[in-house]
Amino acid sequence: MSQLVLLLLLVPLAGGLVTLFLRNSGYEFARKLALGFFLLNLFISLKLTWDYLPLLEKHSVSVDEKLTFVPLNVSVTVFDLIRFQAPQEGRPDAGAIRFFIGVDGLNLFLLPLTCILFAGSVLATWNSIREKSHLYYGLMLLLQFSTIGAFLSFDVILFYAFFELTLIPLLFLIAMWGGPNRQYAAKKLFVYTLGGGLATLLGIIGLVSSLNQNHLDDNTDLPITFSIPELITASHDTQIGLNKKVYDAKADKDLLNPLLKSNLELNKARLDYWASSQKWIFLLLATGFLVKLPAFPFHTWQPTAYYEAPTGVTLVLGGILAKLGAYGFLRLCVPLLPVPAWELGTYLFSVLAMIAILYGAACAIAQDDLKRMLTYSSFSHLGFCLLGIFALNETGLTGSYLQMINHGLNVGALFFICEILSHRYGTTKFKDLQGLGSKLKILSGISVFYVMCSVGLPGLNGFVGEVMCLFGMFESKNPNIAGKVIASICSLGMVFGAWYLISMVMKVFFGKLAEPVFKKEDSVSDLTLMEKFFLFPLAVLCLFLGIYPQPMIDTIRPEIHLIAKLNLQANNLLPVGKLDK
Amino acid sequence: MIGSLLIVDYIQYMMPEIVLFSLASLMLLFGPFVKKNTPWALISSLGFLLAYLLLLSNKHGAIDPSLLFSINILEDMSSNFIRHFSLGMGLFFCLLFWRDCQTENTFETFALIMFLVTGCSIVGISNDLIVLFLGLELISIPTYVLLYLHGKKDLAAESAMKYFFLSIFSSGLVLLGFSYLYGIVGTTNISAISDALCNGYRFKPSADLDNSSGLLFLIPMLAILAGLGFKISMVPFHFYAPDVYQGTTYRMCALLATVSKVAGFAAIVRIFGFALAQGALPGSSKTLDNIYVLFWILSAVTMTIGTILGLLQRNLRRILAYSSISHSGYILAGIAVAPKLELATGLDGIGASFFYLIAYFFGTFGIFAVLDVLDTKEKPIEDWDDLAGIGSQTPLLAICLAVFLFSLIGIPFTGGFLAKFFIVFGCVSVPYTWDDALSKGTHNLFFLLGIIAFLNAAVGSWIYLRILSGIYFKPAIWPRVFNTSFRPSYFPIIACLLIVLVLGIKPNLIINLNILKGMAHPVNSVSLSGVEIPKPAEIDVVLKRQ
Repeated sequence: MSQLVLLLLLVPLAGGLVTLFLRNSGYEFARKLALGFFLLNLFISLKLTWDYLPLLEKHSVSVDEKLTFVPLNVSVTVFDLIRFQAPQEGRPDAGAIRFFIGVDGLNLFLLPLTCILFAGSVLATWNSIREKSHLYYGLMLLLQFSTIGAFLSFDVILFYAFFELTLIPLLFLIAMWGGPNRQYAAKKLFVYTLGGGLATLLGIIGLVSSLNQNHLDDNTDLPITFSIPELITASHDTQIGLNKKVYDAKADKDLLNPLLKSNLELNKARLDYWASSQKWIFLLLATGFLVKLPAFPFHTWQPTAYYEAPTGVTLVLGGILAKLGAYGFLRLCVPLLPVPAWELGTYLFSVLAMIAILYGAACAIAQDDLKRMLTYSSFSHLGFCLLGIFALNETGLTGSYLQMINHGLNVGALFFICEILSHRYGTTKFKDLQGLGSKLKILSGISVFYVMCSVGLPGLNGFVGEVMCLFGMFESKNPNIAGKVIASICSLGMVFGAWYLISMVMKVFFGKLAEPVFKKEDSVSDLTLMEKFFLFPLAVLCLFLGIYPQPMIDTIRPEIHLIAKLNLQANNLLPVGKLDK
Repeated sequence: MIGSLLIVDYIQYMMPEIVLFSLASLMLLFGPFVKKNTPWALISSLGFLLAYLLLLSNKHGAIDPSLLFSINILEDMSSNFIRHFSLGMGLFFCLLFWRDCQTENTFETFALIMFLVTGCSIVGISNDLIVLFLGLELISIPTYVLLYLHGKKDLAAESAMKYFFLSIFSSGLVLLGFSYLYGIVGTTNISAISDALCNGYRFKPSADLDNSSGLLFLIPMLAILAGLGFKISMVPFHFYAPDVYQGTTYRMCALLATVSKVAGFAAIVRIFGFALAQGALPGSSKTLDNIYVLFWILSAVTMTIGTILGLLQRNLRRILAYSSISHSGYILAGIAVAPKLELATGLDGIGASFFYLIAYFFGTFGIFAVLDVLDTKEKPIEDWDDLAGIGSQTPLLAICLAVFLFSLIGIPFTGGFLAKFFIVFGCVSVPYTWDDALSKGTHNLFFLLGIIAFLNAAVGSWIYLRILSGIYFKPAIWPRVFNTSFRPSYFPIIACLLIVLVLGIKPNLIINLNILKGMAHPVNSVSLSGVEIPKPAEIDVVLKRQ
């Protein structure tokens, strides 16, 4: 069964390399071949989901004993890449960077999402990529390879490697097929994301090396490990162990034993040092993911990159690659460093999320272009992801995960529609596109459906995620009142969302027909079979996830429960900040 | 009574260098009299292959480690590494310069390359200040000639002169430092000097030297570092690099940017080994205990200035010159952190530096080799936007160039990424103890160096992105007629491509990471193995006299 996971990773790689070298075969063959690879991978990912869903449900029996992420046994492929220390007994992960991939609840649903959206992206640009199309599709396949690799990795360095590798196809895709200002946009994206990624790498290295130094005992060093499950265990043990030591020593304080007192001082110093270094490491780790997401102070690359990129790439950027940021928080930041996640969560990250939600919505209202509006709308909706994560309880985390999936589907479909319009009319400006409903009936109908999904109409998928994120923040015990205030303010974001999205529908699809004078095609036709092939099944999926998201919630519960539990344990046993009072 | 190596052992051990040197001398001697179209490149390549075979046939442990204090060459991990590396480099350069022998009868070029490589190899195995200096000069002097032979007409004289004067000056500094060291210690044997530097107690008989000995050592050490800093183009001795690179061909740039750097770093590690070895030396190195601060500053300044000035350039040679300066900064970071690391954890600092040197060599060599192919008389490549259209006109070469550029940026799955990773991993994992404020301070200091390194890497990516955008994103201005005939320099390009990728994915296939550990100093590895090293009587006599 693990071959299936490996195949999921290798098919796009092989496909990409093959397609890149199809120089003389013309665009028709290249796009067909690429679509074949994408569909094959979609099939593999669906098969994978089908196989693993029941296994994961069985797996979740031992939810409470689980102390770290455990990929499904049957899905794991692992071997050494770079070994610089001899392996220790019982710890094959010690002293080596390993190729370690697997599937658990957290990444299972992201795999089919990736495959669906990449296949959709090919359909979206079916007719618009004519020049050097073999390179375009080859790079898209390589982009899929690196994205899937990042989702599957259970080794931090491997994760980082794939995470950073996404930049290279993106750079070329945007700079070669984008809009007029494409080179600037591509380079800006590259440098921003590389800088953020290097901060993340520094955080990873800092964490690995500080967990290598045994904080509980001076005499022995713990093994160097890069495996995410082992790192979580080590970090958790260190935190709990130090807390306990200080607590025990405090209990004995009355004895006035000088030895015990110095011991207490030492352990307190260790705890303080660990707490402060954790904070720095957390900030470094988070930077890369905040850039990738993007969240408020690091979002300035986003409007240029999304707008200048060819729409097929924008679809993937908003639908999948942004999720890599949120996934990084769920997989690395929060479970690895629960204490700073708690301390900085409300005051810094939820406020950043709040700013992103409102600021993004305000910007979206002000746009006069469909693609730009969708860009800012995506920025605003991703704020909910961040908000849900830093509620740090099961409701919020689940909501954030659902928002990742649902936003991926919605924004993918909306950018797909945007590409349809831009291909037919050569523009996405609101002033040129009005009242299309009277002409393009099916397109208008399906567009209204997806807009409603994105607005968060109850019963459709957008609603579930956003509302759970807000509920999570309301429930959050993290300084009681702050969570409630932030959640209330953020709920305004849903109102603004409804405002700009519905007024967009009013302008573009209702009212009197107004088309640009110069169209790309003489007779503008309604949806082609191929476009229906993408939009309709996806609509069914959106509806299903809106009405009955329970299977998904159940499957990810063990992992979500684990993240929430790690936080609770690390923070509730003995809150670090309250020790001295 | 201390033994000495038999002359036979010397010759057997030095056979590769001797073969190269004599072959080069013969070529210089008979070159003018031999008819044209002699395949000099082939001859020197065969010479390199022969030397390499001889090197491989050398028995390990050919030199008795107990003779460390009395002989002027040695065999340890770093010497083996440098020898293999420089002979490999020599073969690469032969293939790169191959076409020179078709156009002109330039036996000099190949003879001089062989001298250069011999020098680099001798630096690696030297255990004596004189031998080390000999090796360094064997690199410098052929470089002057090569610079003039391969210069561009109008700029050749300037760049050769500039390099000549500055190089002479730096050699003078090195020599000053060496003579000073000899004056203090009374021997030219590097192991003995290191030993004396480690064990400050030797100076106790003379009371007035005791207090000031550390200070006294500082003067030669700084002079030597300054002189070697020129070789590795370290700030503030970097000014020559952009001008000299600009005045010469891409082939020569490849040579300038790599050989003297490898030799310079090998010499730094050899001479400063006592201060860089990780806590396992017999006796603690009290002298120059804080030399790491100096290296820290030099490293931070070098990488920052290289990156920032690189951003301001348009000329490709100047861009790459500044890029090579900033990479020296990263390598110095590994050297700076070396004395503060424990042997047990991962790679040590020196090992990380050497790994970086390998990754840097293959990336930089690859770039210059590709540019050398693209640079023709009809369409010279000067600025980065002269590369416009390469991406579609010669796609395979363009992909190679892109991979090398990505490696220098430090993108994962290339050698450059792992190199930066090892360096920064070293910087970040400086251990500390709980009750020692100083050790925590050092820990934070090196964490800061890690941050500086990554900031520079992020900003520096813009430099390489501009070259990339020249290759791929600019429309071709006019059609380039590209000669697709086979060239020998494709071999090293393909080899570089493969090596850069393998270094990033599974480096153990090329280099055993374990041999990169404990390279700092021979005394280190020897004393760990428990062998007692007797000291020659005359050294003790000199030391006592002081």
